[in-house]
Amino acid sequence: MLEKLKRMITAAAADYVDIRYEVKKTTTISMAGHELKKAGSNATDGFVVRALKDGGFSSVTVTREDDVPEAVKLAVQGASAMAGGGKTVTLAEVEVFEDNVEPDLKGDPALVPLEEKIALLKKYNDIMLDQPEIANTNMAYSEVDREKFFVSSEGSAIRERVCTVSIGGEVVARRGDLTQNIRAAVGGANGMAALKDREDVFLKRAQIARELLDADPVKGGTYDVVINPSLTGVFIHEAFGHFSEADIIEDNPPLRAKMEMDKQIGSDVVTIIADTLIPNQVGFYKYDDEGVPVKTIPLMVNGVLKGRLHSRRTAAEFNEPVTGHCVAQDHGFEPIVRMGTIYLKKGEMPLEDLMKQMGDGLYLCDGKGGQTSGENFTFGAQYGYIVKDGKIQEMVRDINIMGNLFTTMKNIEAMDNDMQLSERGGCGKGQMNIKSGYGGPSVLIRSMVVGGV
Amino acid sequence: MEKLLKIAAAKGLKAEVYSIREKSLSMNKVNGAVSEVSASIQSGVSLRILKDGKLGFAYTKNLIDREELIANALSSLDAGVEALYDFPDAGSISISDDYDDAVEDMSFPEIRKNVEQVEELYGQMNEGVFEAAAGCGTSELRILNTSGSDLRQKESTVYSMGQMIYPGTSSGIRNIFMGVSDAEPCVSDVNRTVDFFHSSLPEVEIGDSRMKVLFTPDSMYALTWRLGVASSAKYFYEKVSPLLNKVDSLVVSPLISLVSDPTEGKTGRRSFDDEGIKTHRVPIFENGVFKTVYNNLDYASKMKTAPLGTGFRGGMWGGEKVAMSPAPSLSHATFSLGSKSFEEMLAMMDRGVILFGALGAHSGNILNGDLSIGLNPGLYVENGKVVGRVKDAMMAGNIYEMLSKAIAVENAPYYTDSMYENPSILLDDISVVGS
Repeated sequence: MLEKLKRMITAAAADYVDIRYEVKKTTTISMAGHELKKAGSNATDGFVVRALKDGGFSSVTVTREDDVPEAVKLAVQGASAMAGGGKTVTLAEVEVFEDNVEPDLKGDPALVPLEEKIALLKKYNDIMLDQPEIANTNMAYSEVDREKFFVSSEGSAIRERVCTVSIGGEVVARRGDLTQNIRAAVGGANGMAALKDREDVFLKRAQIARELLDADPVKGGTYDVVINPSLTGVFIHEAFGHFSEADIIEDNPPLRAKMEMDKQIGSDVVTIIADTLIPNQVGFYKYDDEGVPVKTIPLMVNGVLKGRLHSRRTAAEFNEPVTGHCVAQDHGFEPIVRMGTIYLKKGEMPLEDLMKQMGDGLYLCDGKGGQTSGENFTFGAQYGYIVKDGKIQEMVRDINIMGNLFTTMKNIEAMDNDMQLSERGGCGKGQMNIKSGYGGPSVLIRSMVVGGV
Repeated sequence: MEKLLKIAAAKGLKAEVYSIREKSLSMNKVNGAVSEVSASIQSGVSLRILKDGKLGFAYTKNLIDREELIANALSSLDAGVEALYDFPDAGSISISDDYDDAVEDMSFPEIRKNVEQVEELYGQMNEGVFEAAAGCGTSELRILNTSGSDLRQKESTVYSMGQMIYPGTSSGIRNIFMGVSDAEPCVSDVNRTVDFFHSSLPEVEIGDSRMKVLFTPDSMYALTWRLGVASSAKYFYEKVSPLLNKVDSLVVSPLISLVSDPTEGKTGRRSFDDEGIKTHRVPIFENGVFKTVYNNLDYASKMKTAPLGTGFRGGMWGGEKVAMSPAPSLSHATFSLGSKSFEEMLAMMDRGVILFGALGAHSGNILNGDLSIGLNPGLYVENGKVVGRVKDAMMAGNIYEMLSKAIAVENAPYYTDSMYENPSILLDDISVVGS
């Protein structure tokens, strides 16, 4: 395939061309309550062509091999249409690689029969449905196995397979007119081992959903909060992580000024690392979709900005090193700057000391999605507790938090010594990235705006 | 596609083949410089088979090996997904194509002209960032089944967009223009956006209080998402919808009507849904009364009701249409127009916020109708005038309670990201939490 791709771009009249071909095999099994809703395996494929010409840069995605010549032509035309339009694109210089990468799987999902996967999903689903007041579940087994071939006119020729599996969804508790839901998920990028013997996770999630029926909505206001590792992950991803993606701030001079290297952005206890190379983590890959090997990047060290995530284009624009973070959802998309695994470094104290340090406030648990817009962010917590004098009290629900990145990073006061990473990703920055892993310890933040209901 | 259907029929299967081909071109400019140029030509085929009350499902992007696609569908069939319905014989459906051949051949230089037309209208910006974008797209859909249906629909869209982003943020206000053949910008809409932008440049801290909130079309999805989930046959069948037993009951203000009518609109009309069922007007909420539980073939059969032509592929998170099964969908639903102009609604606001963007609308207990969103941006209004934009604030509530407090609905609709237009809705006495 790599040789075929080389031939496809040989004649392109451009300064630089690359082509990515990808076969994406998916297995999806979904259940609603006790009912099996979907089960099956499928394969799709497609091509992404990018061309750089006279400072213009363009990309084209096509499905059929017959359309590749048209795609190459359109990409060059698009680059020409951009050229001279004000912005001149250059690509940072990179080393040329030829490589063939297979993931280190503990139980290759491709070798496991569909019936076995259905049985595993049903087992976890039944555990939740058997709990009192659980009205419904919406659960799915998801397996995405991508075989990517990348060739550039500079000479890179790389094949890499990345495989991600998860079992997850929501469990719904109901009492009268009140429904409450909680998310449950296990998974990773190291094969079926991540999914086995996880009964305790699903039992616990169903119990929390039921407990939420007795919880009151949180009252809106400004609180000191401790967020648990799951929520820390969402916070670091949404509030800071997106801001460290170069393309987010690239065309916004005031934001670029605020994110200047070596600037003190956070309090001096905050260190944030982008480490996509942590083995077995959901974010793991070796080469990005520009053929650049991914590097571990300290983004913030003791509150000082030290790194940024880049594509070749943004690395050149910022005159900073390439990082290997230009990734596409699949063969239907051009690659853009994305996080792999990102985490906040843990501290030294146990959780109970962190609570004591907070005194009165809220203990917020488990992310329920988030969103960022420039320096503003919001994210939901699946549940939480009122904390009085360092002691955890009654449960509260319907919690959403909003904040400003710069204010909040400086309001981080301490963290505990227990770091956890997410097992499933999912970031919708223009296209879905299921390989966005995140995590950290529990973190004490002063003065957060909590929306309530 | 016919061959695929024949192979399936020869194996004693009932079958449906859904195929789609889509082409699009787009260009973005930021502060006058072209920042992104891209194109896409995508196609795909999806196969559903039925046998002995069970469903098999498979799809591919490249229909090279028909036998492999059938084999994947048969493997899926063996898993035992229940299907109590049959594929419909569409009979005679009159097709309304919103399609212009010329859009298929649009080039990047033509797209660039459309971007520049938008830039010219907004004029020079001294503060913040200005983004302009334009593009076009065409699609050809075909649904063929063993019950005799062979339906085809084509559509084309041309769009342009201008967005003014506040200094030091990624938050802005915008106009989107759309059409089947062209996207003529509306000058008065642009002028209003420019005026609002300049008058909302100062940041205002508002503390915690209750006030009026004007949901614009750009933030309306936060409401329709929750109403759509609660009125879906899926959640009625699973008995978890908060609207259970509330059909024909008044649940929100009589000013509110939400209607799914894929046959109406200026762009993207559909004569049949993604299962080949004829589309028509389906009132979901009418004058505040909950009227209809919308469905697809699957849930219609489970609940022993007629399919309503509201089974579509896709979801709030997008995704490949061929990879997704048809589900009950309000993708074509819009709020009915009211009687007030935007200016009249603004004059009704003694103190409040115009919500041009909802941050985190996907968080929270969506099924229960709970909403807690960042105002991004929220333009602060005093005595009918925009005087700034709120800093770090959220609004929160339950949509049934919030929509019971609707006091006006706009008499004109506007495009947002979807191909369907919505008016603005003014709500009273909403909890806003500020920094």
